[in-house]
Amino acid sequence: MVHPFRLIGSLRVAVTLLIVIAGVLAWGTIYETRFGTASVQRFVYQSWWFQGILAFLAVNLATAAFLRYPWKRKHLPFLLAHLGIIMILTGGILGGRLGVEGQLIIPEGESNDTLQMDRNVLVIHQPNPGIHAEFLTRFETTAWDHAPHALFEAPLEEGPLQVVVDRYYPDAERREEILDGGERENPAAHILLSHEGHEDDIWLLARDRDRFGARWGGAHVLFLEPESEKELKSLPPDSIILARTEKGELSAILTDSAGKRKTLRRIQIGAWYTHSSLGYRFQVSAYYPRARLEESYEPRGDEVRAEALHLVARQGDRTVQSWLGLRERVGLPFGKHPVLVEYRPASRELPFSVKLLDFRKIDYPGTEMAAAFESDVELNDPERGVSFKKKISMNNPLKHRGYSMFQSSYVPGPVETTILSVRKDPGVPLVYAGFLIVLSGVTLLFTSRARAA
Amino acid sequence: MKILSSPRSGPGFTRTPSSPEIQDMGSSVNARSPRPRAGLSSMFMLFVIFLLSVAPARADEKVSVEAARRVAIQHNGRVKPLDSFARETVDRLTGSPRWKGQDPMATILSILAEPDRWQEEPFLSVPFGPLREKLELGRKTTHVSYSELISTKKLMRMLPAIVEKQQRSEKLTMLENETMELYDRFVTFHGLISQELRLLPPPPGERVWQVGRLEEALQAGRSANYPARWRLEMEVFYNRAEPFRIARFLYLAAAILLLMFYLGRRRWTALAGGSLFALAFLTHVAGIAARVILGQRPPVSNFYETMLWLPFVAAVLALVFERIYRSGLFAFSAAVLGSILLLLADHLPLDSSISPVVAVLRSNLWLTIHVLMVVGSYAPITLAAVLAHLYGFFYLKGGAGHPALPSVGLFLYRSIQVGVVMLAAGIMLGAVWANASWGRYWGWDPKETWALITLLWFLAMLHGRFVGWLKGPGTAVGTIAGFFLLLMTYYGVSFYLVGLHSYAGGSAKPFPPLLIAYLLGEILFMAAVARKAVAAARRPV
Repeated sequence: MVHPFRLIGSLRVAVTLLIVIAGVLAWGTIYETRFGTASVQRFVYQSWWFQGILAFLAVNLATAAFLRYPWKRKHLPFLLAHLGIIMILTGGILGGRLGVEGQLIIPEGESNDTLQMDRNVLVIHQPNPGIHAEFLTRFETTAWDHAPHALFEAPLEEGPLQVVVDRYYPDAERREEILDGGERENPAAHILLSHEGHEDDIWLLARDRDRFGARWGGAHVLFLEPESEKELKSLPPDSIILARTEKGELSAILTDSAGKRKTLRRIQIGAWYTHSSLGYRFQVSAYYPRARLEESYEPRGDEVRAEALHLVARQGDRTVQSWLGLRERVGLPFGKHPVLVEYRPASRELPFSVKLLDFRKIDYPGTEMAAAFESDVELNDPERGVSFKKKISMNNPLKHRGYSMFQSSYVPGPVETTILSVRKDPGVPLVYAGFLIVLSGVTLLFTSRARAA
Repeated sequence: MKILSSPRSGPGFTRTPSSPEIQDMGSSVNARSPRPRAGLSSMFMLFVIFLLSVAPARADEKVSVEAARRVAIQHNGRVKPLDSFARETVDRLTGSPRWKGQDPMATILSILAEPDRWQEEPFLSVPFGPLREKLELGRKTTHVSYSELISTKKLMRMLPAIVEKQQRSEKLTMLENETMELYDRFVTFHGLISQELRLLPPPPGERVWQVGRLEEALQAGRSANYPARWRLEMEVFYNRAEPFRIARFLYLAAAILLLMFYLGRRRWTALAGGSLFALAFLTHVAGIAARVILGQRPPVSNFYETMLWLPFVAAVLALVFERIYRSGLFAFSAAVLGSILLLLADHLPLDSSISPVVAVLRSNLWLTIHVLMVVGSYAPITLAAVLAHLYGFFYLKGGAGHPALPSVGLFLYRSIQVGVVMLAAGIMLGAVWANASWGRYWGWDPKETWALITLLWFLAMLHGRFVGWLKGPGTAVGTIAGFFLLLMTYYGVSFYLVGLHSYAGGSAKPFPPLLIAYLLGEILFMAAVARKAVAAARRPV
């Protein structure tokens, strides 16, 4: 019978652990190709069982070291190597538990002090009388489970509200159908565009301020509902403008690069017309004066990329259903005051705020390939009475109160938005010290044995 | 009619001009780079036509091609001689370094001079079978002409769906990747026939290319922005000399001579083999040095260059080990490696141009050390794999009593030790770099995870050997298995599991049949060695 300590500290266990860990990791990388990075992080690498295996390895190494007590000089390399690995493992587990990691997203000219974390929450919110319940979710961890049946309960004034998530699609495709026969007036036109073999189609909704127009190639394509000729006074150049007259007929106004117009009256559905200066051909293939939108979600796969939830909310005997995408919110008609449900990344307040003064992308000459990204920021820490400006660039982070802020990516646009990745990891010094100790130990081990041999 | 969009992109589906095929409609298809000034390219055309018209006869034609070779141009973020541009472009478009055996410079100048004729030439490579089928090209048609792509429109019809997928940052299938590759070739060729060549960079801070400046610069022969003469000469020389080609033949010759020495023990074979090895090494070093000087960046910044660095480190290690053990086996193994890897570097579809590095990899000391160390650590492990094969051969031939086994076994073990230290150091340096660049020293990215798997495997092996579970044949088999893990880390992750380190590799590539054959052969070899070892262990002593 082997003494339990001898077994725990044995080489047999150590080698088994090394191979088990290698196997789990190999499986993890393959799992990642199927379910995505967010899923594998939580399901494997940060899971209690994997961290448990790593902790067990640390215990094994420590026991192996203590079993050789009292230590002699010849044990030094062995002890160093093992001590170093124990420090790395401890530092890693510590950093995972106590560290903070998130993103700080700041548009130019604005200031932000709220980190966006990489886990998601379901928020049930009733602005009046100010009820706010936030639940950490983990749907993406088991992304293959499309019917999680998770229950969330929030105490509302009129009684508890139960929200059941009965469907979860990690990669949902939103389908929208535009149909005729709605209740209200809502003009929609389906337009086909064609030029030199390129063809496209688009639905324009005259009363939707996000969807009344689009850009295609060098042209603006708009669907307007002018109440008088006056409204059509200033039109953009190089445009195809579909206008709905008061009688409900469609006409088209074409402008060239100088803004000169040509008007086509009584547009026929399904007939092709040509914008002479641009050479683009277009047709209105369908026109619904009272369009209605029908939306649904379909699962596209198991990789976490465009998440959507289906909720069933219940209070007393009233039930409401709704779809909810990530970073979206829906209002549920319960009681006197509306209840809002939101699915979004969790957030966390920083003890200071960062303002983006300017963002720059610097290209290699003659290309659009980035050579560098830079953010000029101003950090304000009222608590400590500190305020200063600094340039953050690739490999050149801003450090403050244990937080490091790195240039991570950016969102282009008229107002550029910088994305800084923010990290606070108290385990780093332990891990770095571990690196040095391991390397010195292993080098010592091999050189001393080489000399002996 | 249905409209598809993902919930993340919200309710609006306003077609923004960001998708290339929409943005560039009506004028040009080049989505990648800003268009140069028209005046400039016509200037260049005049120049080229001048060169060609001066020399109607064949003998003189050569002279004019020579003159054009050293003209500096701006291409893909770097100023380089036209010669490099021509080589890169011909390789990119046709998939081989020469078109019909012609000098790439001559090909490019001919395209510039006679764009109409070249539009009809089946010049653009379509290496992927399923894409040929999609384009209805016939199974054996490896190249397609620019005008055919335009007239059939099949390629253009495939693009919008792929671009939409890219915008949703969805993974592309192999067919879609290859389609985009072909489109990229199409765009490059389009740029060529519309004479979108960029001569001379604008001064810093200015985006406009001025014809007046160009004239001045060409007259003066050099200006502040015009690269130094020796640089251009050196790059043309580097292109022409093909140092890695020379090095790989020298390595091969050295390997044969060193093997002869090992088998026959004749003095002259050792001398000749040793000096050829040294010569190969010097050529190899000179080639790497030339790339560093020309690119003004560290020696390893793309996949191609890792294939140059690995055998270099292997050769350095071999030289060090030879000083200690003086057996010739290390030099032999390194020479074998050098000849194989340099051959592969030229024959795998890798981008061999001296290109600038992406933003996150720029000017960072830790990164440079990390990459050199990690790729360097592959060298002793690969060296160990070569030695493991030698061990296996000897063991299969002469059994456990073969006289060469003890020394080969020792060398194998030493190589693994060096490999483990270097790999561990490389991984840790990578962690330090990641912490400095991204704020996290470890992120379980597939590449780093596989490097760790490789390290754990060899650690397990070393411990197993330490207590005697693994003997010589077991170590040899384990080393070859570990080499598979290394292949996965080095090659597999970049091409089959693309992660954060994707800037180091490419996208999904078809699985080459040669690789499958190689893996099968290795497995049979390992099985044979293992069988013999197990049988020997069962036999009563």
